[in-house]
Amino acid sequence: MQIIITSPISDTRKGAWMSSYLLKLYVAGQTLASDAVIAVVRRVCAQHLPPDHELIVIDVLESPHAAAQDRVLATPTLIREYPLPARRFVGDLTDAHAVLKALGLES
Amino acid sequence: MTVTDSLTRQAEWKVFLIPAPGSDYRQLEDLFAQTDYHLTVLSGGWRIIPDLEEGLILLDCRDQEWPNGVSLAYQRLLPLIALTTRQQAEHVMEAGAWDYLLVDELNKDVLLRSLRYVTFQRWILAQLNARTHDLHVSEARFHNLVARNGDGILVVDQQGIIQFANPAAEQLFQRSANDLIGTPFGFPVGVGETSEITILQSAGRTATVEMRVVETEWDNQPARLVTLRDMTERHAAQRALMEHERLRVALEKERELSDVKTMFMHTVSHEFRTPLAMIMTASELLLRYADRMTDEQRQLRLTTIQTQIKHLEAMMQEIAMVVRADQGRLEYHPERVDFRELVSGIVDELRSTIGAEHRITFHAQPGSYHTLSDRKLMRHIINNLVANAVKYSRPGSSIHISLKRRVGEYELSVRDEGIGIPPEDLGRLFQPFYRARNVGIVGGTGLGLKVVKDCVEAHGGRISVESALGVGTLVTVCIPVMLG
Repeated sequence: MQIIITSPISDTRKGAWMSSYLLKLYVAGQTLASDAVIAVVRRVCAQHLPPDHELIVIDVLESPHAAAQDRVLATPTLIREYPLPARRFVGDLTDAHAVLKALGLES
Repeated sequence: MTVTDSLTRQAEWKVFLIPAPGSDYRQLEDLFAQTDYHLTVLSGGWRIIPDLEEGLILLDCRDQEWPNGVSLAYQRLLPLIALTTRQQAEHVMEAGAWDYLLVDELNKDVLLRSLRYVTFQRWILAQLNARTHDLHVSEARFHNLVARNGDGILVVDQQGIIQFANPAAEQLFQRSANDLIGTPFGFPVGVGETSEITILQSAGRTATVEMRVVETEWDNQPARLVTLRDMTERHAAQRALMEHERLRVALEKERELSDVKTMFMHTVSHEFRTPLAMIMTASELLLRYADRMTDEQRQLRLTTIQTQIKHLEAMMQEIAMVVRADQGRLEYHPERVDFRELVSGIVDELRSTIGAEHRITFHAQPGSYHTLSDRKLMRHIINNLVANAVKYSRPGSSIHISLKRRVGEYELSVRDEGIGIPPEDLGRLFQPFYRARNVGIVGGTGLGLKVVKDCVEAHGGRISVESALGVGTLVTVCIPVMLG
């Protein structure tokens, strides 16, 4: 597992910048903690975001360069690259409300 | 404390005159004699200024060396009034005198005004000094607390950017505060809670820390104060075990949530397993040992099998009903009934069956209760509500059923003194297979209330639930009056 792209890939697949939502989830290693965070973020995305959203899950232990490039200081970190303004959240993302908030879907 | 108060207290009424050589101060002394201020003429010139710790300084600036005196007093923030001429006055003020008196135009009013004015300024200065000092002390105290704290401390603004990092945080991140400040950390989620995060240190290593977040203010803006406690070594094993359990539960919950069908299969297979196992055991015993059993023993096994089959059948029926209701195919056969008789009949039956260990009371407001209702569905409603009340409350406690006439509808309520339902579960009670998290080992399919709701809705009615943990639950069903 290096990078998993979990959005449904359709024929009309466009570049990432065309997706309604572009999200990056940084986790550290394949642990139960990572699995739980990924499961929650995936479900919330599937239930609340339009189908053309894109969620990229990145394991910082596998891809330290990606983490360095995004200046990630801690995991789990969820970055909403798009829609702008970009926002990033860190902490207990197994809380679905926190994820919804991160996506800007709940105030 | 008013200003006048402070003036009377602060002014020691002492004025020290530093004279210019060869000048005459008799007129000045006469004027002072008319005031409360006490004038002392000093010798030694401007050099004695550092020795003056109180009172006001009156410096005669006709002395050629006056700039030394003025600047010395200015540096030491000493209150100095210059005795000078009109031509010189401006220079004297620029050099740092607090006020001036013109040698040729002295009178009592001017003198008093100047003395009071300078005293007042000195009082303000003293206040300012005291407050600045307090501020420094509290800042130093705060700085000490934060700097020496073993926990990493970050202040993160609304955009998730680090605004402050203490030395322990520098250690944790293996980055200097200068590097950290201005860097995006991410907006920390979960105020008031602790969670575990992994820190990516600059050298490529990681550290596990416990993060605690509270709301705070930074530069007058709302911000978050993040405390990071290094957990890498401390209680590693025990903590890992607890964390593992927490996450396993979270993951399991998540899997259940994400797939209603899986949940259905899970619940159904689980609920069916117990009665099937009991049937299996009883029938196996009969098969192997029937010849060695007494009639009574055989009868006992057969009864077990019958009871369990009935239980399975009832469950199947519930499931079938929910499925039918979901497909909009629930059969509704209304007939004329006296609603009170209908309800009290069902309640009487329940008293001798599932409710035998509880005190079930039934109370109905007097009056007639004619309406159209489906007896079968109504039985489902009451059976399920009473069964719930029985299951989730102590034997011996009371269950109150009451019937009231409202405008255009009958209100049926079932109240128990049971364990109650957590507030966060109230909203999802009517979802099929959903069970509150405090049900413990009490069995159930999570279908009962769903069936009730379907049956109530078939009547065109509504249902509501109020509950308090440890106090009890009140379910209210309103059935519209229909006359056919």
